[in-house]
Amino acid sequence: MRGARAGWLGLPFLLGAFLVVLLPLGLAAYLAFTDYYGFEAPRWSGTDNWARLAGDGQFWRSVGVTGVVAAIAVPIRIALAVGAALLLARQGGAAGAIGRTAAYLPSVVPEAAWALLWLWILNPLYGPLPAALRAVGAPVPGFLTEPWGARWGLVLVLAFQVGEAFVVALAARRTVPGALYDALAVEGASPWFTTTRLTLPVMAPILLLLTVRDLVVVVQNAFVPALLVTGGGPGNATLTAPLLVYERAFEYGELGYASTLSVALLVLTAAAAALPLWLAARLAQRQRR
Amino acid sequence: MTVRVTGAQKSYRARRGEPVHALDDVTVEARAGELLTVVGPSGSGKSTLLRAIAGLETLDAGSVMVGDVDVTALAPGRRGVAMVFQDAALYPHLSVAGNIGLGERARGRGRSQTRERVAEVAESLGIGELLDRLPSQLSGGERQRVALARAVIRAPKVCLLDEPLSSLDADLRLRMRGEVRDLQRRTGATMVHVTHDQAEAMAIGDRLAVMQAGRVVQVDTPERVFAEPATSFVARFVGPLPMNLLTGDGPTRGVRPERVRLRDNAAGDVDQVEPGLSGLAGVVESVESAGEDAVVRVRHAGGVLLARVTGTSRPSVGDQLRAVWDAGDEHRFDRDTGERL
Amino acid sequence: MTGRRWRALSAAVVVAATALVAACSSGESRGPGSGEPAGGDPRARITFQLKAEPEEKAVYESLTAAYGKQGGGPVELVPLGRKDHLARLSTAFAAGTPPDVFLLNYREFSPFVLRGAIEPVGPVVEEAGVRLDDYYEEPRAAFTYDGALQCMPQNISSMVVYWNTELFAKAGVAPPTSDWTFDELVAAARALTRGGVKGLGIEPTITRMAPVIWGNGGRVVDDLESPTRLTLDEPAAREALQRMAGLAREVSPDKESQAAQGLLEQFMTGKLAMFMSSRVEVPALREQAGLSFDVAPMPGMKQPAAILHSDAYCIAKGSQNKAAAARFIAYAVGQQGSTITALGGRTVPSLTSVAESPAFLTTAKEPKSSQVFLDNIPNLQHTPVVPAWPEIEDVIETELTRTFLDGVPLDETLKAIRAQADPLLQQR
Repeated sequence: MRGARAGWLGLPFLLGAFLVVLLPLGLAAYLAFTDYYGFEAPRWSGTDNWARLAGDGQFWRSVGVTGVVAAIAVPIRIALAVGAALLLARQGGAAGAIGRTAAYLPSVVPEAAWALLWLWILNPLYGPLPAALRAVGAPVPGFLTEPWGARWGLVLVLAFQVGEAFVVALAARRTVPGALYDALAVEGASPWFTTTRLTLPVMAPILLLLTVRDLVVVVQNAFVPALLVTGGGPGNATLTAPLLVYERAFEYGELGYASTLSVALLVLTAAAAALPLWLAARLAQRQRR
Repeated sequence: MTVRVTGAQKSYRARRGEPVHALDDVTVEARAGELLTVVGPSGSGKSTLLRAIAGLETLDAGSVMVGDVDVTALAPGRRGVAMVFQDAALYPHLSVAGNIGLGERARGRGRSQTRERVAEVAESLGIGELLDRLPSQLSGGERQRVALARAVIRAPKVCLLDEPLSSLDADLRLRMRGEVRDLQRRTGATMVHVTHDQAEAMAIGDRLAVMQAGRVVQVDTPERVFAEPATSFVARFVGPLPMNLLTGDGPTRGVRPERVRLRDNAAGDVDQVEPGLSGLAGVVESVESAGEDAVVRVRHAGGVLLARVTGTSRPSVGDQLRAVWDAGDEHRFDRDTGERL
Repeated sequence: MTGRRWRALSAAVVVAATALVAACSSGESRGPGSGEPAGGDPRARITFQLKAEPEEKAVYESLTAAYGKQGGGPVELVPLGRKDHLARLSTAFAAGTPPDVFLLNYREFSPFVLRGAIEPVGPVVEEAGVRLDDYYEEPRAAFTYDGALQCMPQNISSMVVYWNTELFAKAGVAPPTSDWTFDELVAAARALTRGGVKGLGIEPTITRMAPVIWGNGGRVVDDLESPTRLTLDEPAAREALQRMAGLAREVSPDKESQAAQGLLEQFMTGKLAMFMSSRVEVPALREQAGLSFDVAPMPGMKQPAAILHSDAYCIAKGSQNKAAAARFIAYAVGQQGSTITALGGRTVPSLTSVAESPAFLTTAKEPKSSQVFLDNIPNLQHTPVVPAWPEIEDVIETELTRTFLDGVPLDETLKAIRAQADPLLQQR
């Protein structure tokens, strides 16, 4: 009885999810099998788009670029979010509040404003970051001019917007019972030992979930800085998959094939997320009592 | 190795208002090889005292000595003190073996050496079969044994136990009491054991330290604490049943329910007492069976008095009777301070 | 450029335009839209989407305002930045709410016409009173497809060389003449490249390089009508690209400099003495305080050549207000409309009479040598009409950039271009 009633309460959510998620997704899945340019009705083209996708080097290269950027950015983002969370977890009072605000702040800045800020920071002639690197005699990686420099630039733009992950990590850290830390303190464990052998392993299921979420976030968010900061260049060095989908759809007008690309990207992302999700579920089950 | 706390002060500032004295000039000593049980109601400061010895709390004033070393300023890990926590505090992500061995690893012992030592200790505590299990797969008793093993593996000179048995069910608690005692005898460690359960305290402790409101009010053997409670608080706190306290114009008089005898008083005589006996008249309010015995609540002019009676002839509710006891069994306490006279 | 400055400009343009329009209208016998074409109420509210920077937006505001004064219906302007125009058009079409009228550059024309987005404009504007013969032929030919004029050309721009008169004077370099040679261009660029200034900004795009290739006797595709391959690797084209790539390394800003600041901005701030573009830059350059500039023809290596840069007014196939749209277009390309847009500086009018009038050729405002754009007209050529042309442009730019800015051998990038672009070129 109670279960049935709870089910009814979920109805608005399910309806909303259907309307804003499933329906468009279904439509995109349909368009993925059509020739569609937006001017006339979609024309069924069967598996033509998929055959084209298989041989579309540009797309697979952009998936590679996305993968590389995510492979660098996600660990940095998770490390920053978790690092800040661990440092601030036991920091009360004004210092703690300032620290938490500082960690969250970059996520409050609108994406586009953040990207434009970085466009200035990375500017090869007028930007403070290249200037600072030159001042200390460090090599400047050519943030907007060299393929790897631009990828690093993209990583930098993405690295600091970790407010949500930080909050989740902070909450996760606070669920670790204090008695466990007391127990290790009595054993004389160093802070490093405590972090690596107690805190991180206990948080591991949540950290894995965070990683999956972050992977999805980065794959999606890599779009705005790639569009505004690097413009996909130099060459196609930072042409990430979402940016490619955008170009296909809105610059070349191939809405049908762009749908094929985005559905393929969704499947690839889901596949990349599946392993860590499975691992997280297993770890969580082990610890639950 | 002796553990000695001298003049310990610790107060917490409540969110609003006066600071709360968790420890108020506490001086207490656990002698080498002794099991000292710190007992008191919740909020009396006993856990704070234990955590202060471990170094998990810093004192506002006073000192902690372990053996000849003043450890007051030392980090918990450098005090040479092992500790068993309430609810066992097992690391949820590690197997039993991992739990027992983690401390050794933290102290820099090698992997294989640790593994050998873990097996040894687990065997001695009868949990050798459980080494590969996760904490989530253990029963309450098994968890507590793992917690003990985690302390024992250090072969500690001093071991602190913070309500180690409180989360166990009654039956298991009785069994584990014996195990804690055995362990103490086997290892010869000085143990400081905290509990709110006076029965557990009486059963385990070589000596008891009774705490009330941040102060240690009596330190003595269980027998003497029972026989000669230092204050009226101790008198009521320690023992299977609280001591009856009779207040009047003079000092407060106390008598253990076990020492009270009940006599028929159908005639309703008042205060007909033989020499050498004290007593009062009253009506039976309730009779609670306690196995072979019964606990009888007698309503009298000054309040309620408990009597523990043996045998099969129990009074019934509503019976008029007289409660009497030997004058020599009577305790006397200062009416205002509650101190023993 | 601050908001205040362009508001002031916009006010000035409106005043000037309405004064001129009032003067002209007295002589005009036919008002706009005297013919009544079918397709809804000719005075219905229409939307008009275009690509316009803030300076240009003011010009279109005065155009629609003047249209209203002449009895035209309300026109809702949807001005968008350069990058957003196409994206917005695609989404508007896909959503079933395309703008009634939109401006389309010739480079973007192909996919729209080939994929059925456009209502052929010729018959309806003729019905609305437009005499097509009054307009230059080249842009009309370019926007004709399947035997019908698809979009009505607004302008007939072409690539020229913008030059900073002050930097020329300072360097003691003789100003370019209307018949200067390629070698004189190179000599000037070299002489101007000194002390933090670069001589000539070169963009490795096909839009910029095509006239250079044509000027060397080369060609871009094998067959303009039904192209099957790019011909950038043919000797004449290859030689032109090779020379430009070498020149770029000598006199054009390097990639750090270009990543820091675009060529237009460098020209505006006196860091670059010359750059190549169409008429489109004029409003912004006029706005730049302290900049004095003029235009010169782009000399060919062997023969004169120019590339058609033209925008045209298109009517969306799905529009409910075709009559009102045609009426507005007829006005916009008419004597008054052309004059207003010409005064704004943005356009080289497609209407012959206005192009040859003081409204365009005036020397009171920069550039003084606007005649250069008209001189280019006999030499105009254009790129092919294939649906994937925008993507082919991107491929060529990405690859040529590697040669022009990173020094990758030209043959390598030309090979890469053909590998990617030829299949796209054959897509129909």
